[in-house]
Amino acid sequence: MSDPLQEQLLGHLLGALDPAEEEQVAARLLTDPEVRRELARVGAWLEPLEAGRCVFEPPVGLAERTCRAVVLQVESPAVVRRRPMSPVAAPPGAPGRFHWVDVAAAAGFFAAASLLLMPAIQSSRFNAQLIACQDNLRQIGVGMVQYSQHHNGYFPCIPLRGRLAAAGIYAPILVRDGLVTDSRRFVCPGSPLAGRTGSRIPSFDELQTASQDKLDGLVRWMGGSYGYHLGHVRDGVYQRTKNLGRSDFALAADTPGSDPSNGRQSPNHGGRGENVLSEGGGVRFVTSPQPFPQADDIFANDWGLVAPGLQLNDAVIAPSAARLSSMPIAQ
Amino acid sequence: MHRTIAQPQLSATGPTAPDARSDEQLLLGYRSRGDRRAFSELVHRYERELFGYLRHYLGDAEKAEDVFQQTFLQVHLKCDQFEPGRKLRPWLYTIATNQAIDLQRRQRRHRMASLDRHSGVESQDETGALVRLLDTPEPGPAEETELAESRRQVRRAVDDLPEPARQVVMLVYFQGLKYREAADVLSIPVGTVKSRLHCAIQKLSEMLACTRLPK
Repeated sequence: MSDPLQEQLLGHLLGALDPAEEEQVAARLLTDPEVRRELARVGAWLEPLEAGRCVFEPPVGLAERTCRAVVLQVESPAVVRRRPMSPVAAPPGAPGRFHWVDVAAAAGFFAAASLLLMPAIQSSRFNAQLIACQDNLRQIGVGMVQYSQHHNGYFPCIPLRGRLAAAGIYAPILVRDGLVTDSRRFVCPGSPLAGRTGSRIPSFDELQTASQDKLDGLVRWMGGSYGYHLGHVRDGVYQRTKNLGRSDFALAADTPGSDPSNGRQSPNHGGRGENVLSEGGGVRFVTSPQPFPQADDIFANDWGLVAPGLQLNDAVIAPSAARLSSMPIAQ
Repeated sequence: MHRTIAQPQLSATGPTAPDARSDEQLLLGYRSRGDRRAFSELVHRYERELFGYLRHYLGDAEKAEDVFQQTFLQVHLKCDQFEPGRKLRPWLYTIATNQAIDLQRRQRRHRMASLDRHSGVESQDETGALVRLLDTPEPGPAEETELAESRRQVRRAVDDLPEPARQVVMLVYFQGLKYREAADVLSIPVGTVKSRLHCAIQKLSEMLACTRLPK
């Protein structure tokens, strides 16, 4: 049965609405609790489908082969060769014993096979890591939503100052509250952190009692290999982030890198892109720091700074060690 | 849907750095000046996205590659028909979807003519099977296996939807097209896209609630 509101909310969660309609829905969500309840209902329909998302890497050289096929068609319209021809058949009748030529040929064959197979193996590993990372973010997202349900709709908040005042604090909070029980959920298998043994999320006690030197190390990794959003500033006052179920608002993501010249590309996944968890609970792999059509750079605010957003929808994901106390914000 | 930044690729005709021109400017550049770099940039720009779509749609990497190449061949042949002012993305998806449907039809005819076919796999194809998800689950811990199984269940459920609903789910849910873009691709009103997706998602949610693995 058709239900215009549910259709709109579905479009809102999937980022499928036109800007005008999106604005209209966002305004209703802000003012009408009934619409927010309906959004939660529609969001629940989508939850079991999330598992169906996966990324298929194109075969190596597909674009080049396609260009060549089209060029061939332009130059000789009768012939279109889509893929390279099958390997040439082996020459018949070899002598009955091994010869150095055979050994050289075999070595050449294995070298060639390795060269051919390596991209496929790497691609398979890349996909597996990507999917496991998405699963991690999804679990973190579930934890965050549960947290917001117990805290008047607010997500874990980064303190403005003090020992724990860094973006990565979200992870110790979720672990402390039992909302994410497995520390490995905070480690992306495609990140440099994955290779370190014994990585785990520090407890609040450890953070409170660690020496300054040790604390710096703990804070650097307490958010695992994911970055967390910094909240925003309104009328000069820092605001915590409330759960509005926005499908185009980045809540967490593969941790950003430090180089602004490449868009602060994450070191996770070989710098090929980032998984982004939206407030609506969806996780997407994106190859640009601008994952949503109307959103700006998720690794910097509207002024291009790694600092809290300048308005409600200005999401900024920062690395674990990012401290609000060192950022240009008013109190 | 995210904006994809073209990744520099080495190619005889390919670009070596991202091109700042829009998709539409690239196609019009190719059409008016035969600018092969512009065409190559377009192919690279859509390589990942369109291959992923076709791989999902056809459930087979080799077929997806064939249809991907056919799609850009059609882009080359039909670029004169592209109307300035339109968006390229829905136009490209229309061509790709039509090419995929053509391939499925050709295969169906081929199978009907074949007397010694095996019924198991092909009967699934004859009903317009959408996807078989992952070729093989990644080996590894139990979690990964469970995830792969969940993914297969979702894909089977999508596969069981009527064709019009399946197309809308593919375009809007999996490919991230806007309602309006999907309506363009399928040549149906936006309202129809909305209602089809709404029904399909509700149905999928019910189907998956019955088959979901216990946590």
